[in-house]
Amino acid sequence: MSFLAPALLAALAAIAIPIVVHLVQRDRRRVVAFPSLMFLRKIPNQSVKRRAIRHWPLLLLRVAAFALLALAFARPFLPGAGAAAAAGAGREVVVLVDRSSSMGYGSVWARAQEAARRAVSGLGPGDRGTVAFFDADVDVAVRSATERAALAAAVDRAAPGAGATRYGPALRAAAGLLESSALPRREIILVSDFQQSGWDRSQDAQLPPGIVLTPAPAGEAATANASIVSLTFARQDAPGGEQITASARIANRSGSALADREVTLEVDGHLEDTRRVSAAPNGIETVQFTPFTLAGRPARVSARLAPDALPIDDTLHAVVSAGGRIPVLIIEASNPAPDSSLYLARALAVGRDPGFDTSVVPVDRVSADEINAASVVILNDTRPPSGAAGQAFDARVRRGMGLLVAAGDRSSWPDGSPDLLPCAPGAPIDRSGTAGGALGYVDYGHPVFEVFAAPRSGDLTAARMFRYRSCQPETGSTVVARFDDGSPALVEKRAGSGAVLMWTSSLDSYWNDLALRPVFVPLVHQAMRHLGRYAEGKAWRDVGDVFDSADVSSARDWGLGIGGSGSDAVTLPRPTVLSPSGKTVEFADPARNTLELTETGFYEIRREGEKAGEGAFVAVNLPPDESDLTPFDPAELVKAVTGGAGQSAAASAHTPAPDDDERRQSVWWLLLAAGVFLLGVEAYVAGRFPRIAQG
Amino acid sequence: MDRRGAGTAMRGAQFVDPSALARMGNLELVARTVVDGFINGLHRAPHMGFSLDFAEHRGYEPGDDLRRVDWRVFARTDRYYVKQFEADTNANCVVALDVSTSMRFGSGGLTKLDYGRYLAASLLYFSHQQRDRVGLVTFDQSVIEYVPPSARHLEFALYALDRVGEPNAGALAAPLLTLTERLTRRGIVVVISDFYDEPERVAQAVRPLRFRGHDVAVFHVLDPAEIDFPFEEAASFEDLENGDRLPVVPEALRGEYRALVQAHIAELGRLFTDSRIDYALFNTSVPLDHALFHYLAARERLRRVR
Repeated sequence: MSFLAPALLAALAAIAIPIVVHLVQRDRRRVVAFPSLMFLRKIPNQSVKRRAIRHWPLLLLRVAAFALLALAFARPFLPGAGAAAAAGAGREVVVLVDRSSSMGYGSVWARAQEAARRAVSGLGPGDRGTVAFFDADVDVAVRSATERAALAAAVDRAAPGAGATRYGPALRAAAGLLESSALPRREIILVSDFQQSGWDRSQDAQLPPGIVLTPAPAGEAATANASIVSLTFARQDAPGGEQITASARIANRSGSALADREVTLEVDGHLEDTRRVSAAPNGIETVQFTPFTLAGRPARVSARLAPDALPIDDTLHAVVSAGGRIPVLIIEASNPAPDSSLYLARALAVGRDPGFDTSVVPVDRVSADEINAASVVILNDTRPPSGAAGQAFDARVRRGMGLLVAAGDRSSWPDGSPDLLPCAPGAPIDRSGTAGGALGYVDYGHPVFEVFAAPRSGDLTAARMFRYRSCQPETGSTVVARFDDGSPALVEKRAGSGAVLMWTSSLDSYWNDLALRPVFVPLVHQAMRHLGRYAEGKAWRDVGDVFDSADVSSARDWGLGIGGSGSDAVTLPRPTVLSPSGKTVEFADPARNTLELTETGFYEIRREGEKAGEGAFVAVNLPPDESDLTPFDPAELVKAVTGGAGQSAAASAHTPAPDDDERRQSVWWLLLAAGVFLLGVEAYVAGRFPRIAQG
Repeated sequence: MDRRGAGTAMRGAQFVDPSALARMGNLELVARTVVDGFINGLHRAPHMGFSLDFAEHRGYEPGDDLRRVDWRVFARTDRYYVKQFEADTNANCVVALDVSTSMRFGSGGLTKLDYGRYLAASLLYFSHQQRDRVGLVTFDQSVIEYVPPSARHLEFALYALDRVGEPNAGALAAPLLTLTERLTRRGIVVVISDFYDEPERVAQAVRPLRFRGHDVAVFHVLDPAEIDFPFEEAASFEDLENGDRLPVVPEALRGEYRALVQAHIAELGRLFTDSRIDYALFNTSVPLDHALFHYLAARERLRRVR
């Protein structure tokens, strides 16, 4: 049996009233005037007899009446199955401790540990506790334990990490832990600095009904934090390699100015330059360092700001590689027009990041070696190569080389040529009699056109299309762009591992004026990147990212930045990965070379036989938003994830049906009736036998 | 009927119970011939004096008043004899009534004070009837009212009985000593009290009256509840004199209480008897005339023994 108002059980103390009356007040209530106590005082003390309770039945009657009334007003009820568990008062508590890097600010972590210890010590005998730490991931240290010592020890052992704060996944994980609990009262105690950047209001982190979220703020009211948010590298060709000029952007997230702080640049562990920086309140300042020369191997670059209360974001690491270049082979007709490849070659010549090594060869003089050395081949208004070159051409395309076909006036595709075209070129369509046609449809989601997707980033429709070939796309081909009459303008097809793009007009100024438009150069660059499968290498990654170590290894083969490609899908042996702290990182998935980055600094990926420092490096930094320590109101979070129900959610967790509730609570009526009946009996007895009632 | 409100002709007359007076009248006729003093004709004058009642002859001695020489005897015997007469019975009769707080107790509607007032009034009335000089003293810790003995002071005495003032704690020694000093003429002194004090101290307080030659009688007035202690339920017993309270379970100590009271009464009787002081216990549950009758009858028997 449980009680709806257990506090009223304190009224049971009222049963002491009749007992006291029977013990003490029974002789004090009745006062008998007597002439003199002279003789009574001579009689030995009768205290023992005076304290003896008389009239036991009447006393028991009164005590029982008081007890029944007290029990009735405490509203007893008979718990059902679910309610029985609820009445058991056991709690399943998940102490969710933020261990993101921002918790390392000042004394925030010490306060967080103290708050977590308080939460653990607040567990009752019937409670079970879980201690979990979270940043972007959730790590359950102790799960559903009753030993508070173990829970407290887990709190003591923990330390802030390098991850970013993400409340949504943490709350969902905690809710999952609570969902599996059989205890009726479930609660999440969230210990955090409640960093605004960690809460994405669009995330679906709604807690199930019945779970109470109790925030335990541990952050500081006022924070001042400066951090290096980015490094940019300007490249310039120089004797012996590239000359790199690094620039660091320093953000001052504070209401006070940043005054004369030292910032240094290290390259491969050597101090290259030292500068001093000042920044206005909540301002950003850029510091440009002295250039350094990059020759051959990628360089590890670290920009360090003099440490403040949050040191982890005062250093930014990066890996700088020599700029990648894509070899492009332009195959033109044996008797080309004088400027048939002029615009292409000039456009490719100005390419940077990546640059293009361009060569122009007539179709009748192209060799297989030239084809094998290229990453992208452009058939510029001509037929495909034949002979050995033709075989190499076909094989390379199918093994991953990119192919761009410009179907101009001299273009042809004889019988017996490789089946690589996405569509068979038809008769030319002449629209020179009018103002000319234009591109009518462009798939801006395609990599070739995605750079033009934003407004005022290039008007592809401005180009006049006077002639173009009709084309019927083959099955499996994709029309990426169409002219305004609906004819395909750019069609793509996958041929083996390679990609083939077919432009149904020319790339000179005879059939269209596209080459004269501003969009031409970026369009060609994008097409080469796409066909060459070029992926811009990242100078650094963020903690929490997952990457494939094979990408790093293969990229190195091509001399590109991280993620660079162009390989022939070579299966590489599993490398050894060392974390910045020097530990060997174990791969979680044996079938894949993927791993999660959990530390800031440089990860080293060594292939077999490589020594220390000879492997590839991956720079890992703190997620930039983690440096923004701006807090938000925990109540907002509570309201968002509990749907505004807040604490009342727990009360309604095991709400029984009204009929069942009424039935189980009807006990108090019986108790009240019994108590009143006993009082009636007591009144009758006391009235009938007043001498007894005097107790 | 409220007897106090009935007194119109003479204040205090309501204290004289008519039935008691009737029965006391018969008692007077019987007692007059037996005892000198207490009631007219019953009590014996303690001194020879001058009255109409011849006592005896004695031989003339120089200095005797020649008017008292019985010339008839001289004629027959030729000797001088002087006639002696018993003194007149106009004795002082003073009632000392304790009006302290303890006397205000009564378990049956009649308090000891009321009973004492009836008793005092009856005594004063009949003393006055036999031409004694009557006086009254009321006292608690000290003398409150003092009506000097006089043949004309019955009304004053009854009035004094009627206006007993506010209750106070009682004591015997001081007021009785005061009374002893004031009563220069020997007479009858009746002390009415409940004597809540140690017997020896009570006796010491009363004895000075006896030492001054007064014929002293003490009437010990007690309520039946004080004697029998019939209380049943436990209660706080409050001392009427000083307000002290004592939790008491009567049934647990009734026997001891009764024994103590009886020992107290017996001790008082013994001490007073030793001092030649008449002692009588009056239970307020016993009718007043009945009590007086028994007392006088006992006194008569004692006188006969003398």
